Order: sequence, then structure tokens, then C-alpha cells
Amino acid sequence: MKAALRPGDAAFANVEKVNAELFTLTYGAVVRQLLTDHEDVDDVNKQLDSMGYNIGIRLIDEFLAKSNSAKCADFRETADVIAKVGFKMFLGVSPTVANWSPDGKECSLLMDDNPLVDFVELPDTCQGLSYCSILCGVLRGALEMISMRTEVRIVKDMLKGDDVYEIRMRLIETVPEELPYKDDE
Amino acid sequence: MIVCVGVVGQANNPLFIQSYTEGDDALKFHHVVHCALDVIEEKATPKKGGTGYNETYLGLLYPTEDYKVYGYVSNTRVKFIMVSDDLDAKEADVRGFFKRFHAAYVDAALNPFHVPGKRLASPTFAARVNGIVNGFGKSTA
Amino acid sequence: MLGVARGRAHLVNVVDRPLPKGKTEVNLSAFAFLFSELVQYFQTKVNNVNELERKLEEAGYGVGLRVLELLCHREKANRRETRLLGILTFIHSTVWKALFGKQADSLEKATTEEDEYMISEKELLVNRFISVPKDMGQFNCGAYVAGIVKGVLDSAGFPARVTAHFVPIEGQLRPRTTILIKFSPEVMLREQRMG
Repeated sequence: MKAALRPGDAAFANVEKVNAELFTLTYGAVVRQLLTDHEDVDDVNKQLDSMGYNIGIRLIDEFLAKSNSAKCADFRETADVIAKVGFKMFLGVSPTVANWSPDGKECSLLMDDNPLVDFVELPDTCQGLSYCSILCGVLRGALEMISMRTEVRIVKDMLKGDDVYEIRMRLIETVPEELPYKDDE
Repeated sequence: MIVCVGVVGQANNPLFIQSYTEGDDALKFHHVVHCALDVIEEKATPKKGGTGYNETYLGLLYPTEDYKVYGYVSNTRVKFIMVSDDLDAKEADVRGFFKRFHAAYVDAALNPFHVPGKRLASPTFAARVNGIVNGFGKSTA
Repeated sequence: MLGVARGRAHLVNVVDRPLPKGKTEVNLSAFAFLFSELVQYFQTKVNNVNELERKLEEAGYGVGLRVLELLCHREKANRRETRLLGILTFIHSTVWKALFGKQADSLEKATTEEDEYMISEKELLVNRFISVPKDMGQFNCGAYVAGIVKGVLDSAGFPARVTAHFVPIEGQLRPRTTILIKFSPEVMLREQRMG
């Protein structure tokens, strides 16, 4: 018997897809280009993060339109939807949410694989590079569009020998939502 | 036993050479690999009226008194060379070896940090090749 | 070895990891967002459309080199391509299928020039989600794909000049994209010699 489709699986099944290698190799080309143009790897990390941010603020619309997710009540629910539906819908992988802080404002997304890192091996000269920092920017950008100001960073990186990829998300504040009809009426 | 393996780039520039003998044979094997390139050049050059399909596996390039030298060339004109002191190696084993050697190379070449045509500096690649070399002739998989 | 599932690799040999089989996919939008960031990034670095296309072409070139390594090992088993038509067919079918999920719409030889070939696509993937502002004229994101094709050809030993162009089709609102391949004289000479 087939198990019922989970929301993330359904969302991923319904979007148009492209070969992951084209995506992976293109991301590699982006990182290569940034490394050529910037002397400091920290600048590359920042540039990747800011590209991610630009993506995040646009990607949220597609997510809301296609995911059929109900409005999240709090950060805890939001993190859950990001992991189960968001990541799945765009990258085809589902991280687990873990390591909650007691106040419920900080948590981690854990994954042991993601399509950005296929074939990647960091050379000694690039140990300071946070290869996946684009993901941090995407999360920060997308969350900002739904009124959550966050700080997102990578704390564990398998490319640097860790046993898992860990993205740490911290909710700084929830910006009160402005009612959409306020401007017009 | 495999005593030396090499990967050589399009411009006949060595990308990776590793010997597996006790002695200091680096110079000797550089020479062996160098000679192998001439034979590969000869074997891999398209012939007039040829069908246009050529096997990647070139087989035995030349035997020396102590060794047999085998070759393989990819579509990207990267040459793979293997030197064995086992004078009766089974062809299937040699073919299998090159397939795995090539696969390891492809993974390393896809690394966004590898500069095509430059030396393969990846420790993972070296470790994988070691594993493949050690497994040569032992498994049937 | 090829064809062995990733998870089983440890049974064979810890370091002898198989190549991924290429069946995995990501959301097209994920690629579209990323590609559009790449284009925007380049825009801050160039002075005109021509330079922008060169930049995209260079980025694609590195991808093309890697694509050939990957596909030859996975798809071509143990054959090498040494003829011009063979490598063109390989790009038109195998490379296109792997990257864009389908064969290219057409592969033609130019009627006027002996050394020119064209691969055309009604709606090239990279042009589907990018709308080019009017002031950028004939800018074609297909330059990225042209770069990929150039990378594949160069690496296989068929150096060529490769460019992307919009070509209007009668009765259609949107032009198609043609990847124009002009082979180097040495390639044409070698072909002639092989008869």
C-alpha cells in the first residue's frame, strides 16, 4: 500500500523540475566566479548570502502560492513547514528540525545531503568558504517577507568534516503585520 | 600487483601519477608513462575511413621485461595509464579497473574547485584510487 | 561502479563511491532563481550586452567541460566520439536530454557555410523565465548554453566558435533560439582527411 503523500512530497511532485546536475554545476559556476572576483573568502560568503536573500524575497511568493500551507502560528510551526515543505518543494530534500532553544526562538535544520554540494571538495585554500551560505540568505529573505526578522548561519558543514549540515536559525523579532487594505481605503 | 597509475591531460600534461612500490621509482615511472603516451597517441588517432567509434579501452600498450603497461582514453581526451607487474592479468580485471579509475576521475573533475587541465590535488581522489588499486584482481564485482 | 545505488557503496569499498545516476531533480524555479542571480551579478560587472553574453558564455564553458566528463562516463559506456556528426548528435540528443530533459528541437547544417551547424530550440530553458528589458536589445541568455556547448566541443577535441541568437519564426510571437556552431579550420581538415 502507498503511504499518503506528505505535503512536501505533493508540492515537489506538482512543480516543474530540472535535472539536479544542471543546478549543481551552475551553482559551482557561481561560486567559482565569486572566488575569481573577490580576494577574501569572507566576501564570497557575504555575496552568496546576499544572492540568497534576493532569491528568498522572491521565492516566498511561489512557495505561498503552490505549497497550500496554512498560515503558521509561530516560529516553531514555521520552521517545521520550511523543513518539510519548503526545502522539499525547491530542492527535493527534507532536513530535520532539531536543537530548539528553551525560549523557542532558535532551532537548527539538519541534513546529510543537499543538491548544492554534489561533487564538491573544498581545497585547502578555501577552508574559510561557507559553500552553502546561499541557503542562509534564502531563509532570511523568505522569512522577512512573512514578517520574521531572523539571523541564519551555517554552524556545521560536511565539506569541512562535520557529520551533518546544520543551519542555525534565530528569530530576532516578529514585525507586526500591516493589514493589506490599509493603504487603499 | 599494480605498481603505478597515471592520469594525463589533453596537452599530455601529467594530472596525477602515483607509484606503489617500495623503492624510489618516481623517475622510472615518469619515463614509463611518457613512453605510454606515444603509444596511446598512435592507437587513439582516428583512422581514415574509420567508423568514428573508438573504444576508450586501449588494452596493452606495451610490455617491458618486468611490467605490462595498459591504457585508456576518455572522450575528453584524458589518458589513463596503469602499470602492472602481474604478467597474466585478466583482461576483464583490467577493463574493470579502468572503469573505476575513470569514475573516480570524473567525480574529482566535477568538483567546482578543480581547474580543468590542472593537477588533481584532491586527497579524496588519491584515497579512492588507492582503494581501487588495492582491490585490483581481488573482487569480481 | 556505475549503476550501483549510492547507499550500497560501502559494501563494495568505502572509497569507491559510485557516480550519482543523474535521476535526481530540483524545482525548475530553484534553477531559475539561481540563474537569474548569476545574470544580475554579471550585469554589475559589465558595460554592455556583448560583455554580458561573453561572461555568461565563460560561466557555461566550465559547466560544459564537466558535463562532458560526466555524460561520457555515464552514457557512452566505452566508446569515444571522433567524428563531427557524431559529437553534434551527442550534444543534440544526450547532452540536451540530460540538461534540459528533452532532445533539442533540431540540428541542421548551415546552407551557406560548410563549417557551420545550428542547434535550435523553440523555447530554450534559460530563456523561458528571463524577460529581457527593452534597452538590452538582442541579449540572449542562451549565451550560457552556447558556453556549455563550446565547453563540450572543446573538451572532446572539436574547437569551435559558439554563439546564441534569436531567430524569428513565422506565425509565432516568440523567436526561437539558435545555437550557432562554427568549427575551427583544423577540425574541418581532420574530418576531410578521415573521409
